[in-house]
Amino acid sequence: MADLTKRMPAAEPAKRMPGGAAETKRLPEGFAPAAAVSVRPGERIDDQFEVVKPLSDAGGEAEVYLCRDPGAGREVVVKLYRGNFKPKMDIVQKLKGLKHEDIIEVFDFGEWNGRFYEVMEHARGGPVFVPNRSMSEAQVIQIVKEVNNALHFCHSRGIIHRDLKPTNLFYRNPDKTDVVLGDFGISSIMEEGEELHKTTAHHTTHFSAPEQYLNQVHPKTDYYALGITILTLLKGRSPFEGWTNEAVYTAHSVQKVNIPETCSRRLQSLLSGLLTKVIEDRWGYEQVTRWLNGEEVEVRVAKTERHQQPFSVGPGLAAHTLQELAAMLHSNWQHGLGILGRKAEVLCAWVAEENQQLAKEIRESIEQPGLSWDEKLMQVICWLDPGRPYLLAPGYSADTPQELAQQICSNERTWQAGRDQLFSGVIPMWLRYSRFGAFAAAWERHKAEFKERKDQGLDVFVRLLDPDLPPPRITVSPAKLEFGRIAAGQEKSPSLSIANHGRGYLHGKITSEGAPPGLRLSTAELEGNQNQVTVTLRVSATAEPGKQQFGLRLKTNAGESEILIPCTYRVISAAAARAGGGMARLTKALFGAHTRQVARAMISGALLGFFLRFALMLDNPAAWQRRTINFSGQSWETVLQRSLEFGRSAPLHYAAFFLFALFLAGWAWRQAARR
Amino acid sequence: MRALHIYGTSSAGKVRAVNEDRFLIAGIHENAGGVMLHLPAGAELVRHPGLLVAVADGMGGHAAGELASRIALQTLADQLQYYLKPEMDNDDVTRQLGHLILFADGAIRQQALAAPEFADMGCTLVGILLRGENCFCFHAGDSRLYRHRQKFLQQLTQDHSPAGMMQRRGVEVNDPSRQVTNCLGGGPAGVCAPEIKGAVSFTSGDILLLCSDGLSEMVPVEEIEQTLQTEAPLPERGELLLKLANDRGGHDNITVVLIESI
Repeated sequence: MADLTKRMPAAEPAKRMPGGAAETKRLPEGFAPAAAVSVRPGERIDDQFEVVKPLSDAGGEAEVYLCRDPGAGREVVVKLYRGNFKPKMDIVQKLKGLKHEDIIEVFDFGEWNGRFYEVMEHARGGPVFVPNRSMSEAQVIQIVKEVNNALHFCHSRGIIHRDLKPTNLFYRNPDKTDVVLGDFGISSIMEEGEELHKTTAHHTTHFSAPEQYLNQVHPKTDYYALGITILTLLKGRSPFEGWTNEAVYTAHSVQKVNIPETCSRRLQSLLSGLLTKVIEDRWGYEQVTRWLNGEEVEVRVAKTERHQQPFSVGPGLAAHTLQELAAMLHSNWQHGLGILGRKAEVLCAWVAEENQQLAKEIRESIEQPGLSWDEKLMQVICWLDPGRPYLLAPGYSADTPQELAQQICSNERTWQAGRDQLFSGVIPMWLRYSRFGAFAAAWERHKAEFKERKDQGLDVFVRLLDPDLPPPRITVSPAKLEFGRIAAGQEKSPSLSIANHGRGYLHGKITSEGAPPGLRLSTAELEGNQNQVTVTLRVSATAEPGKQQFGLRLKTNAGESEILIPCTYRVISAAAARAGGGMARLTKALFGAHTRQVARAMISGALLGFFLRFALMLDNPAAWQRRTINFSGQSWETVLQRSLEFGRSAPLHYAAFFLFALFLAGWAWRQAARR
Repeated sequence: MRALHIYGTSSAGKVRAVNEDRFLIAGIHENAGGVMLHLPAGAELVRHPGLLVAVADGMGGHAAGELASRIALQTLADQLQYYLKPEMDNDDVTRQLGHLILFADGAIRQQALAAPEFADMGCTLVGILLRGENCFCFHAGDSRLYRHRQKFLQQLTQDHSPAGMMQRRGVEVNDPSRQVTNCLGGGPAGVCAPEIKGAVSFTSGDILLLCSDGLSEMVPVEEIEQTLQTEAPLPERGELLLKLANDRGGHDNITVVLIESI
């Protein structure tokens, strides 16, 4: 084998890799002449095999000698491997016991001067293939018969030859009638039950089946090679002579290998059967045997409208059509970006199989400066599948701009997605390439304006897409701002909550009208659907006591474009404030900051308790009668005593009160927490 | 014309004793250490004959691979000026580059006749020629040219290998057999058919990465991207890439050349 290896120096330890293939760089074999020989005729290999002459059909992988084996008294062929090349031991062991009338027998193997060698049967008739000498169909059919048997024998023992070619066929006898198959140098043992297995094979390009380019081997791989071998024998030279490796590859994997029309119909059907690209449809032992018996065997030609090989977008994502590819790129955006950024060439090559012009456009688009990767990806997706709906987020796919606008407004998540995708240029790109270009153009005019206010921009954009969308629905709480009493020189800071309870994004301004100089707003801008504005009012020390009022005006994008919030406060003098200060301090000490809530809770609790007390008695009129307490004319001690008796004798009532107290406490606490 | 920073470095890796890789930066070729070159905007060299940067990965074992890559790069460096003329247009340059590479192929083959142990020597080649505003790229074999642009590292050359052939059809295959179907030299079975592309887009902010398979086989693309995106000076980034490949086993010779356009 004329292959070239990037070998390690002998001093280094061999790497533990299967077959040692990974550390060598090889050239695939052509019809290369012999490389240099290192043993001269008359010298002995391993003190046993006396070299008669070097055989000329050796490759770069090994030197091949015709030797005399005085011990066994026969002529043998010794294949002496170069450098540190070691065939797989398990194969050689298996081959050693492989005896078949159509296979060259391997007698022995060993190591000599650090080089591995194989001792094989000498086929006296020499090689079958003589360059430039074409064979008749009858001769070829005889060869097919014997090779078919040999392959069947190997395959049934789990060996795939993988290197079947004319130069591996020999005549066993000098009259050149018995053909044998030789050189299992790179065969591998099939794992049982594993039909198609990955391997680190190197293969001969001219004879390589399509699956070998995918680094896979199958017993039928040998049958494909048999097909090319037949073509070579018929012609006297390889059908791909003078072709570049790329051209040969294309012929094997995509185009058809040309079958000469000069062949008989019968042979043409054999060749078509053997050279079928799809493994399942390719002829194997059974079909070839039937063909040899003169039967008509069906040739199945795959109708491939789809790509032969799917494009891999990511793990478990294989696209078979351009539409599928578009869908996968769209729904796996990050993978899509990676493919565009890193593997643009591979993507374009795959697309070119179906549409060369499109591939060219995609390539140009990717090279084009100015567009971001996101924009480029959307552009590519639109080109791959022009009618594609827009995928905003998983489960949100829009066919029209109106639908898209509604989906953007569905919830917080879609809003965010819409905002990101609008400003990364993805949505405009989709509009541009899916017959809604006018929207993209309209947005183009607004874009710069909203660069820093993206949510506002998106709100404008969705209204642009769908003018019928309702505006935001504003709610202000409280609707009226009451500051209560403020001592001169003091301040109060109640809050206003301004929210959007409709769709979209609320934004606007808040201004004051007729406000005293001590008014401060925590913000003048309303941004987003939840706004909290703290209104701080500081009354000057010289302010006149009395009731005052002013207004806060909201200008927003909501339906009611302007809202006026009335605000009132009462100025009291500092002295009055101090007088009321004692009571205020007490309630504050008792109830903390939530005086008003607790008081409100207590009053409503008392009312509800009173109602409950009578309601419970109503369902039992007798009890009502019995328990009614008449307080008139009683001393206060009696009233208290009878009240307690009443309570003791009515545990149900106690329970009701207890539960109610719990409810009260909870309610008050909740109110407090809410503030 | 823009200013350029170029840094090349190479290492034998952790397993092999000999470094059969080699890189060339504007006439300087090395297979060890680092070479740094700053070219100011408008450098005369870039106008004519052009700045040649290349990486070759020798094969054929031991001394032979080392010799082959040396011959290849030495020949390219020496002969470039005779193959290109100032008035040549892009098509001419592309064609002449092809001739130049075939000449280097011939030079290796001639040396291969000198001794039997050199019979099969050869090397892969990848390189760029920056000439004026144009960037030409050429390659034979599985050494690669990448371009880092806007956070992604794009492979601009497709390997000349069975796996590379599949890639050209849009199918990604993991092929550990490491065959090359195209190289310089390589004995009787070697086929030299360099692939040359004119008009490779290389703009300000881009980084071109030329490397042997010692890097591309060992370090995932994402990691190379991260390394190139750091703010470190170019030599540090180059050495970091070398270190990454060595940390992951350094099974093969490693060569990295970075070309940054400012």
